[in-house]
Amino acid sequence: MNAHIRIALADDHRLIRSGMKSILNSYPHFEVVQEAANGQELLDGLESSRPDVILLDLEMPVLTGKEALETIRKGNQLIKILILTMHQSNAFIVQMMELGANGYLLKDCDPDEVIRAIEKVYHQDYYFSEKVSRAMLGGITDPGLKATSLLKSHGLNEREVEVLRLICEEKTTLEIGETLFLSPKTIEGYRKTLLEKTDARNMAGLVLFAVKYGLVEA
Amino acid sequence: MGTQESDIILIFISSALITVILAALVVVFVVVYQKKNVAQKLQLQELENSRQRQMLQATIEGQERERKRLAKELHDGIGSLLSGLKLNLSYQQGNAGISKDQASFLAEACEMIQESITAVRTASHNLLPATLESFGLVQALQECIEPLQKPPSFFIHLSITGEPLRFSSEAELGLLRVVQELLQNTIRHSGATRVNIDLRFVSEHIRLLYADNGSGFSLAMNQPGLGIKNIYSRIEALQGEIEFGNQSVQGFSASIQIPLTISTP
Repeated sequence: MNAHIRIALADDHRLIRSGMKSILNSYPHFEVVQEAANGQELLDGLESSRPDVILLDLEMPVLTGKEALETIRKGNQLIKILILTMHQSNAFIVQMMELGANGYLLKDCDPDEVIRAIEKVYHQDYYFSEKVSRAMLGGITDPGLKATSLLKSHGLNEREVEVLRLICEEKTTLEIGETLFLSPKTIEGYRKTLLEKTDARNMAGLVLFAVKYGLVEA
Repeated sequence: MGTQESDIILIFISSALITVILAALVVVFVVVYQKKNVAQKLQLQELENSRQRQMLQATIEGQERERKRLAKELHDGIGSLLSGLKLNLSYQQGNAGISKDQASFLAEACEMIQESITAVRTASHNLLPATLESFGLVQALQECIEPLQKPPSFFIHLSITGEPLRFSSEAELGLLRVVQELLQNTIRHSGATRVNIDLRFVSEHIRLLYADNGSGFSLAMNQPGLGIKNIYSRIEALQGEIEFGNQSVQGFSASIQIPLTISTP
């Protein structure tokens, strides 16, 4: 489980970067491969640093975190991006997830949560902190969009909805397979179909979609 | 004899006529002069008004610029640094090598820092909500209303009509401040349990209807506080209009209209 994870840090405060770096480097399976003081520095160094996960601050000079996220997502859907910011309002959270972030962390969270989030996005594609999920559920569930209409409007069949529900329960492919008596390969297939049918960029987008349609509740 | 008499009459009549004409001329002259004078005065007044509005605008803009700078500095500067500090300290807390006393000391320190972060967030938000610039008036309003909701004893209903366009930052900010001020008045003075805010985006202007079910606004108007004065000057600076509702109807109500200069963000 403890795969080696390469991490890039983007934050305009040097002290915050170095604090975070020493915390992360104290875990043997983490390696901080790049530090950037703004979005542009991050973009410039990505090719040589090749991180698996980016911890991205939003408010930065030269190129903001949001702009960096947009630029990265134009060419790369695989790199995992965790937003680490002071902004806690729903509008920011929802916007970043829609732009293709894999997770959203508040800067005043505990170090344990940062560690958990990095591992989670690396292995399962998305991480929503409890606080953020609650904010999101409150903020974006559209009462007009019901789970039943999900089937019609996006052509999802019941099995697919079931898989989506299990994904939202943070089940792994293996676990979903066991629950539904299907092979992991079949579940992977479902994941792909779901991404296509919902136009989501990644699992985070998929969960966001499910939340929007009231498939999962707070 | 007869001709002499008629001459006199003629002279009399003509001199009377001349006098009348002269008098009429004088009157006309005076009227024209006065009209010109009034027009000039009006023009001066208008100049003065627009100068005052410009000054008002400049004062408000200056204030808001400063507030924005402070809000950003608090939020992204001090807030971020405090968060970094907390991260480092709470990491030390999990360190196996420290004593129980040290651990509880660190825990307390972290708690204090967390409280500071919350205070900084609140202060920054009160100065200027970050959502206003990035997401616009509707989002910012929702965010300002949210913490005030205490159903069933106090409930604010916000309804939006029309496409919520982004418009000039001065107008967005001005309206937000006016609503905040009105809400403060309602909460402090009226004893209302419900507020309806209706925001209408019409083609050329934005209209805001505000109504609560409290004790009416006589209190606020009899001694116009800083709040009401602020509202007037905000709306004046935006060349908008405000009308207070009929006092015989229960509760306080106001209708505000701001001409819309749409800006693309």
